[in-house]
Amino acid sequence: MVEPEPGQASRLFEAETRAEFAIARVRQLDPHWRPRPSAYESVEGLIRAYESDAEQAQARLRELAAPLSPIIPRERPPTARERYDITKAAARWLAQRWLAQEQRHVVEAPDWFSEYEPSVQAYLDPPKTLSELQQAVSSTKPGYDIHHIVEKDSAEKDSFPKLMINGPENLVRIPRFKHWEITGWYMKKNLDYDGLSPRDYLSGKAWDERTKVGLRALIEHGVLKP
Amino acid sequence: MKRAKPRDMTLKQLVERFTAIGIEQYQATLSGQHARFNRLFDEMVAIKDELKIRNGDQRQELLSLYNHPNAQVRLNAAKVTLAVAPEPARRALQTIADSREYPQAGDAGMSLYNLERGIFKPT
Repeated sequence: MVEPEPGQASRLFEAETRAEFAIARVRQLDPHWRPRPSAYESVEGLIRAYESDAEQAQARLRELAAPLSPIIPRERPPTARERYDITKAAARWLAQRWLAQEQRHVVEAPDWFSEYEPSVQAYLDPPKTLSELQQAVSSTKPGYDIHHIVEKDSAEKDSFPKLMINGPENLVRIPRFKHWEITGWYMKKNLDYDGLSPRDYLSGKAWDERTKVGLRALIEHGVLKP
Repeated sequence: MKRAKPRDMTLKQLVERFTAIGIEQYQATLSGQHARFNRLFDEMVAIKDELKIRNGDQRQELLSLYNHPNAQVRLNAAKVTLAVAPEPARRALQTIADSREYPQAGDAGMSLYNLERGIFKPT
């Protein structure tokens, strides 16, 4: 292999260091783990191989879910799912550590990440009052979604009036990733409800019970002040 | 390769599979793959049921998972052991709920709420 040019040498060093660091972090939890070997015939190929090692290590860390800082790939991942997986992991990691407003921009992120940054920032919001969340519905904001406290589709199936389902008391504007997490909680089977999903458990239940569960889910997911 | 049925697994294998399911569910949650999560849930329940009928109830073996690095593994272990170790399991749920490691923190908080209301009745 040819000697690296001056500009390449620093990139090579950076990529190698990054990969070694990431692999070392995985091995703290999974001592026998190693990245898939990559073939290379040039300095650029070797840099790509190190970058690939770092990204594989990060994927393994996400699997193990160790509370370690995520590495965001420099290249824009090809699918929306991959991009969201990475941004959600970054948001979760920050949410466990974020303490003050001025610490919100500690992530060294590549250009592609900026499209997702509003969702990450929104995820770090502290809990708000119900009236704050309800009043925010009147305007849209990047990184936020309108959320139905009583789930919309399930309420429609049980023939609750649309005026109740889409009424101002049932709508809140919440961080997008929180909206997805709460919706996910409703969809997943749960021992709490004898193996039913919360959505299936609530099917056929009264509006008040659905509201109680919906508000409590907002509290327990860190969106609504207790 | 076809996976062994829970009744054919050793105790160690049951605990290992229980742990692996939690890690896979964590990944499924992160990727929004709820159907995959639910398939794994059914498998987890089969393992829980197998542990329950072994030698007077071997779910105690899962208490060691309260300190696992994966939040979904900790959450599953806490819920499944509520019937055999109520107080340690509740404390484990409270620790997860306080951790801000969402969405598992939210799920743990909802479990405590459901226990309080008598909706969640561990058996």
